[in-house]
Amino acid sequence: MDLLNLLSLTLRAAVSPEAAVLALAAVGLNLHYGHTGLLNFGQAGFMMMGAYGLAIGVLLLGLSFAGGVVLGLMFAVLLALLLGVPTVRLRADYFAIVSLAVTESLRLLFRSSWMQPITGGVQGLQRFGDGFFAWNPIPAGTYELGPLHWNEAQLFLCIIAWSLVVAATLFVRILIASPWGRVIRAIRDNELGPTSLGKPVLLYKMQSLVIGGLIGAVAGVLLAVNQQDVNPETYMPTLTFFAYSGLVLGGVGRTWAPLIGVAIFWMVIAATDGILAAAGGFFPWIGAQQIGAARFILFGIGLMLLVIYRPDGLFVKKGLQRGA
Amino acid sequence: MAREPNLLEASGVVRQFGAFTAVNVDRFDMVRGSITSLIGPNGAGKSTFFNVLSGFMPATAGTWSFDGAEISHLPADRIAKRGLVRTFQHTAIAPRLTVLENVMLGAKDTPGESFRAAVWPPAWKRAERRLAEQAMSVLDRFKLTHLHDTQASVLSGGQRKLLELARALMAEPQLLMLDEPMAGVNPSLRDSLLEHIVDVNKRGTSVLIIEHDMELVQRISDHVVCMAEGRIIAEGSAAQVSSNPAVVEAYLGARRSEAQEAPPTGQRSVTRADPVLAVDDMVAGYLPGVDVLRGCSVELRPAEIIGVFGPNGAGKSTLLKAIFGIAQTRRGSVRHNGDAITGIKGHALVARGIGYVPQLENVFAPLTVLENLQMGAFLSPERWEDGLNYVTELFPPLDRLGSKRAGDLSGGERQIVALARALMLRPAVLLLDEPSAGLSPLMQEQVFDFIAAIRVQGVAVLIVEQNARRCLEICDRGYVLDQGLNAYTGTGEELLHDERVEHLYLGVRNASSSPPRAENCTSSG
Repeated sequence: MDLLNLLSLTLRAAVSPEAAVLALAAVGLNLHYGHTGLLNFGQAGFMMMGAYGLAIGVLLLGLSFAGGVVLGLMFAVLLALLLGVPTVRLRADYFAIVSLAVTESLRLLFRSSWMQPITGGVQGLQRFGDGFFAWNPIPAGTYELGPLHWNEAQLFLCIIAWSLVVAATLFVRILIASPWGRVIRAIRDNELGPTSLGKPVLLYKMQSLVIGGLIGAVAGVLLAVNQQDVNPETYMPTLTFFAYSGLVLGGVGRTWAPLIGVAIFWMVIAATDGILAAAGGFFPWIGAQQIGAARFILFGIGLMLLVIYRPDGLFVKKGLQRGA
Repeated sequence: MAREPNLLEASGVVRQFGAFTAVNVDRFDMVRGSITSLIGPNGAGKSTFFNVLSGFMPATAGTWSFDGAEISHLPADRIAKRGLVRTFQHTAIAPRLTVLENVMLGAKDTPGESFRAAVWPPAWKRAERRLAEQAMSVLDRFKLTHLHDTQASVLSGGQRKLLELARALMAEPQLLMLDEPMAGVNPSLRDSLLEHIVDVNKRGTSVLIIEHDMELVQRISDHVVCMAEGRIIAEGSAAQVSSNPAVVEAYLGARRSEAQEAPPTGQRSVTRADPVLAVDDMVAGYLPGVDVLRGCSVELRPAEIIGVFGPNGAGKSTLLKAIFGIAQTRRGSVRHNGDAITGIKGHALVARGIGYVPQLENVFAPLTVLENLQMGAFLSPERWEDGLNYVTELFPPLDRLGSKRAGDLSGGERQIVALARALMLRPAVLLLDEPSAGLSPLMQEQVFDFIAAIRVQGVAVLIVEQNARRCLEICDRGYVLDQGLNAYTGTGEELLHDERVEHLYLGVRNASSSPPRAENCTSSG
C-alpha cells in the first residue's frame, strides 16, 4: 500500500457519515461531561433510543420519517428521565456506573426474544429510512472531490450529517456562553457554590442530561439511516467510548473538540488499519483478526499517552488550562 | 421599646451520625441586623449546625424559621433563594470560571439562567451587560478588579475567601452565614476581610459567623454563642462568654479537683538525651501558596511525652501530617535519630519505627479488632505474636474486643484499637492526633492513662491535643503554636499554670495587646 492510497483512505474515514455520527454523540457528551461534569457512560443508549424510535415509528406505527424521528427523540427524553431522576444527584462516578448499567440492560432487553415483535430481537429492524432519502434534492450521479467520491444518497446523508454536527456544536456553544451555561459550568466545578446561591442544581443537571441525550439520539437516527438497519449489537458500550476517545483527543470541554477529535480518531483508526494490513504482507502471522485487535491496542496506548501528556487534548499544552 | 423580631429562630435541632449526636441545640435565636459569632472547640458541631440550618444536611429533628417563615424542610437552594446565603470553610468557588463569572453567578433572578431564555441571546444580552457592570463594582470594593478576567483557580486562599464573599453579596442576602472566613487567610488580608464583613453588616445584612480567632470575634460581634459537644453552653457578649467557666473548660479541659488523686505518672525531669525526632523550622501546607505551618520547631527525646497545643488552625495536625509525609513540607527538616526523613512517605516511616494515629477514621470500620491489629503488623507479619502480646498487656480491654467489628465500637474503644494498631511493630516514636477528641470525660481519662503507660515502655510520644489541661498533666514538655509558629514552650507544669496559654485560646489578650508570637517566636527547644 502506498502513501497516497493511505492518505485517501484516512481522508475518506474522516468525512464519513460514521465519523459525523460519533462527532454528534460526542457533542452531547461534551455538554454532559465537559460542561456539566456528568460522566455519562450511556450515550450509546441515547443513540439506540433515537434509532429504535425511528425504526419502530416508521415500521410498526406507520409514521412518516419525521414522525419516527420525533418518536426517537421522545424515547431519548424518557431515558434521560429514567436515568436521571433517581441518579443525577449521585456523585459523578456512581452516575457513570448507573448510566452504563441502565443502557446496557435496555440493550439486552431490546435484544431479547420477548421484545422481538417490537424490536426485531437479535435481527433488529431494517429499511425504514426511505423517507429520508425521498427528501434528497441532489440529482442522481457520482460526485467526486479529490480522492473522495459519493453517490447522490451518500452525499445527501454526508451533508446533512455534518451540518447537524456543526449546528449542534454551535447550539451547545451558545448555551454554554449564556447565563444558563454559567450555572452549568459552576455545577461542574463545585455543586455547593451554585446551591448556596439559590440555583436548583438538580434541575440544571436534568436539563443538561436531556439536551445532550437528545443530541445523542439524533446521532443514533443518522447512524440508523446510514445503515438502513438497527441492531442491538451496534449500540454496545464501545460506541460510547469511541465518542469519548474523540472527545478526549479534541480536548474535553472545548467547543470544537468533538468534531475535530472524532475526525482525528476515525482517521487514526483507518490509518492504523491500513498500515497493519500492509504489515500483514510482511508478517504472515498477522491475520485479519489480529489486525482488528492490534489497532485498538495501539490506540489504547496512544490514548494513555494522551491523557498523561496532553490531558486537555492534543492542542493544549499540559498545565495551560488546568483548574485547581 | 418594641423588641426587634428575630431573623433566625431554631428549636430542638438535633443531628445524629449513627449513635453519635453531633448537634443538639434546644434553642437558638439570632437578632436581625446583628453580627453573631458561633465559637467552640473542634468537633463542637458548629459546622454541622450551619449545614443543617442552611439545608445542606438533613436534621434528625427540630424546626427553624427564617424571617418569620419555617424553612426546616426546604432544600438548600430554596433556602438560599429566601435570602439566607452561606459560604464554606473550604471555599466553593468555581475554579474554571473567571473571577467575574463567579461573581455574576451570585446574582438572583438573572434572566438568561432559565434554559428557555438561554437559547435566545437577545433576551438576556442587555441584562447581562448590566449585571457585569454591577459585578465589576462589587469586585472593585474587594480590590479584585484587576483579576476579573482570570480563572478563579489561580487565586490564593485568601483571595478565594474574598471572592466567595463578593459572590454571596451579589445575591443580596438578608443573612450571610460565614463558615470560618478567616481560616487559611494570610494575616495581611485578614483585616481587609474583616472590614468587609463589618461594612456588609452596616449596609443592613445580618451576619452569622463561625470563627476561631477570639480576638476577631471580640472586635466585631454583637453577640457570641459558644457550642461544645453539640450543645450551646453559653451566650452573651464576647467578654461574658470568654470569661464563662464552662467555655474555658470546653476549650482547655476541666481543672482537676483537689480531691482527685494525683496524676498517674509524675512529671519527670527533662532528659538531655539526643532527640529521636527533631523538626526544625518547618514550613508546610496543602494548597499551593498557602502555608499552614510557617516555621515551627519541635524536639522529641526518648521516652518523652510532648504535647502540641494551640487554637484551631494553629497548624497542630499539619505538624504531624508533615512529619508523616502527608502534608507537603516546603522548608525546614525532620530528623529521626539524626537521619533526615523530611518528606519520606508514611509507610517507609512505619518501617523505621514511627507510628501515627490520625484524628479521624483511625480504625478500619468493616474489619474486626484482630484484623485491625493484623494490619498494624502488615510490614512484618512474623512479629504478629510479639506485637499482640505487647499491646494486650498494655491495653487489657483489647482481650474482650478481639472479634468485634471495629465499626461497632465506642469512640474510646476505637481510640484504643487505633493506638494498639500503631504500636504493633513496637515503634520508638508515636504521633497522636487528638486522641481524646469526641470522648466522654471518663474515656478521656482512660486514654490519657494508656498514653502514660506507653511512655513507660520507652516510646516517645508526640501528642496534638485540644484538651490542654488534662494532656499537660502527662506531658514532660509542651509546645504552644499560634498561626503556624511556636508561641510558647515549657515543661508541662509551667504551661499548665501559664495564663498566656488560656489567653491564646480565648483571646483575652494582655493590656499591652502585642501579639504573643512577636516576642516568643524563637523560644523553642
